Amino acid sequence: MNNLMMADSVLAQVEKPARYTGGELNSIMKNASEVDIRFAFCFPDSYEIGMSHLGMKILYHILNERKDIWCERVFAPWIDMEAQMRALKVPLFGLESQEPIETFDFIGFTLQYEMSFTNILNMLDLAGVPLRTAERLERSERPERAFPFVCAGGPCAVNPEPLAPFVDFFMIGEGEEVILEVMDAYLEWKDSGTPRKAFLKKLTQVEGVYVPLFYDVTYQEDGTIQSFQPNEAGVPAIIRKRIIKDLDQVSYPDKVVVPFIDIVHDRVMLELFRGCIRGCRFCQAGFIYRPVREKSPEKLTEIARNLIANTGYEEIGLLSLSTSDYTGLEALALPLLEEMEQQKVSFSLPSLRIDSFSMELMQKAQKVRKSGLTFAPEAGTQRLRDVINKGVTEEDLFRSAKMAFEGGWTSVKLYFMLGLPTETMADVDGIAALAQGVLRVWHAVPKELRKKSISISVSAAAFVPKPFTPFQWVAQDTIAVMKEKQFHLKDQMRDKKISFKYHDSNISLLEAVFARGDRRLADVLELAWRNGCKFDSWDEHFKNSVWLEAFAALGVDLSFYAHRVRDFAEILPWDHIDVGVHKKYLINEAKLALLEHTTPHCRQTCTACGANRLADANCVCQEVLA
Amino acid sequence: MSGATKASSNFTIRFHFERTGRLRFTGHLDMLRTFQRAFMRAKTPIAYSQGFNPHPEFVIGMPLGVGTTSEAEYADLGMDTKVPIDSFVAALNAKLPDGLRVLSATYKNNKDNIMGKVDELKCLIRFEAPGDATQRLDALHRMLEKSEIFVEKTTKKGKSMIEIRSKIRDAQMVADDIVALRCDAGSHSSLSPELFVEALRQEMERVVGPLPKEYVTVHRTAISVEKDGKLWNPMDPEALK
Repeated sequence: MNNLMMADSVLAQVEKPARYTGGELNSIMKNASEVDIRFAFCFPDSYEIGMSHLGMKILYHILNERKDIWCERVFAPWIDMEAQMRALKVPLFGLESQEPIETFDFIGFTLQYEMSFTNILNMLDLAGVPLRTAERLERSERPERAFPFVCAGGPCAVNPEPLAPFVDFFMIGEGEEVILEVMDAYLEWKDSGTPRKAFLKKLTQVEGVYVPLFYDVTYQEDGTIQSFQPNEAGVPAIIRKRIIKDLDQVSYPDKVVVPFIDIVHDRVMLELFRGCIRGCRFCQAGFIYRPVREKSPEKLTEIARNLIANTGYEEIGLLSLSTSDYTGLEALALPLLEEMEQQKVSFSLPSLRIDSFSMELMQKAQKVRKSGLTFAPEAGTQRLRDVINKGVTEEDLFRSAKMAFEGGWTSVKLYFMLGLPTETMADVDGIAALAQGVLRVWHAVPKELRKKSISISVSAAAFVPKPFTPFQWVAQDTIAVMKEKQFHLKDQMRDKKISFKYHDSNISLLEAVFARGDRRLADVLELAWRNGCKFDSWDEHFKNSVWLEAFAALGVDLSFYAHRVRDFAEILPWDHIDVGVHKKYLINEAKLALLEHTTPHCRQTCTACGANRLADANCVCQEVLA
Repeated sequence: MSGATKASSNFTIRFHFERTGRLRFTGHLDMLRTFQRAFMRAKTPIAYSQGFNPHPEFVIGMPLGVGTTSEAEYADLGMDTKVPIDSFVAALNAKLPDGLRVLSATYKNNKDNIMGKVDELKCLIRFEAPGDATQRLDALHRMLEKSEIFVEKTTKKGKSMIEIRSKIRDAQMVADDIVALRCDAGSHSSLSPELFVEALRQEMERVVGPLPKEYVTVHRTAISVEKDGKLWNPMDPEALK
């Protein structure tokens, strides 16, 4: 099948045509007439970003393991390609078959970050599929016209509300099992002759599936939610997220698609564990992926061998939220490193907590290139680090930096956030002081022990409060306050050895609005998209004024979502989703934060967050409780 | 992955391969990487360069344009150990993606690097909108009678006029919509088929007035290497001596 959807004459003109031609090694071809379900797995960003995403590789594998399903990949066409597609009326197509996804059974989106939402609407539109569930229901009643079901999952699905009118159903939590249960429900429904809505109703019985259509929201005069309830009998009031209980048992790809062009993370990815023991209070991933479940070193070694043999990749990357917390790190990493070295396969390590073992590991992993080492103190003072429960002290940082400099590293990255709850200018000053402290550590290392140069790069992101964190009730700093802090900090970064970067606070504001948004934002999203917003996470494509006009035109106030302190009693737009962690636990954590009290991590003691309700014996909760 | 580093390999294989289908949109560096990963999967005992960042001793003779298919691609590969040539080909073909296929291979005895020895290429250029074949044939004849032809070339650095007549060795219409071109290739002098097509279009415009730029598909049919003042097929035993 060498026929491409787009003419060669067009492909020859667009940037990186191999983004659109498919045919990569290990991409899966099937005969369309021999499958019962066709699934378009859509990543709402460029090929290079989407192809770097592990979740897509896993679900592509899980779906295609089934003979009766053909899952294909779809990415957001880049601006130049989209212009050509619209001019030539070429609909969005699957990379494998090169056929329009409008004819597929499912169009599924993965929601990795809020600023990709406009691309979802853009892709549906390019596919020729009506944007809204209601419209698809209405128009599908004509028998000659059945649209695909539109579904979504991924971390942003824990607050699905801003996308509720566009997505027929959300799968909350880890997808490996629930997606196949949905496929089975579809096969039962497909030949039943019952209407489209009947399938969606049936899905409400699958644990972890949320069908927005069956829930009504009412609002109070002040704009907060008055009630959120099912509008049909038999529909669950609360949707609990799904997890995989035993990660050693779940199917993990032994082959992944190897792209021709260079992508962001072009290597074998080894997922060590899911969840995080730490409980940093700003970190959504740290709460929504609980409980902690590890893969065994034996299983991971087997996976690594298979993937290297089947892809020919020259690099393996370890992946998880806090790699140093993997209990099998020593048992896994050193033997695997040695085995892979013989095959000329190198290791890329994420930022590790610096101790003697991780130094040894890093020395071995990058025998030659001692490039960047990353530390994330997140806040400038111990007081604020206690507020956010980031268990790192100044002493830890300086000791790690000393070891790194003595080990030959020449560049250090320090990650911070500005605008954390309770932050004062003293905390902002603390960021500069820490950076200078690291520089002093470098000066203090004897010249014969360290390299000649040093570069310290400080990066300060704007804090975005997220659902299912203890900070889900707090206000984000206004743009004016954020800018003041950014400039204040910039002024203090005078040493040439220290560079300073900060994020566009306009993007962070919108991210905050959509992260904690409700259904009323859907119209704003659609209007902004109609007026040209897409690829919003790309600075060069972000159109702030168009966004602000869309909010103004519809009378929606950004500050209501971003800058308002919520009451603990308020019904939050995502209260019908249960990620395992209790709301009362988050409230307690919020209160401890204000008291500058830290909470021990999961291996020190169980603080009864609630996630253990989801787990069984293969989880850290059970280890600690036992 | 470049040919510039000092060869440390014990053996060198030259192989002939084709590129077809979806692979036609793969760039040169991506091709090198695709082969490198195929060597890994096939467990080919390739040689690595010495130094901080060891890389395979692997060169492809003449980069192919994006969108171009070819039945005449040649590459040199340094090997650590000598494996039977048939098993080298079979193992590699089993691991290459659809669209890349090794057609033949042989151990070579000299240290000539294919990239430095390419001298000439042949390709077929197919016009998507054939138009008036007679006009095109006339224009081609007029072109070949000239001693100099200047066309504008656009590069990252800007635009420049270059002379291409001296690079054209032969050009014939072989069908109403196909021109067979034989031209300079290699590091000393080379001609991209697109510039040839542009020159032809301009020549036609002189008679029939403005014409739109046309998309053409290019298929490479042969590459020749120079040795001792003669041209050889890169797989010819004489070229490998």
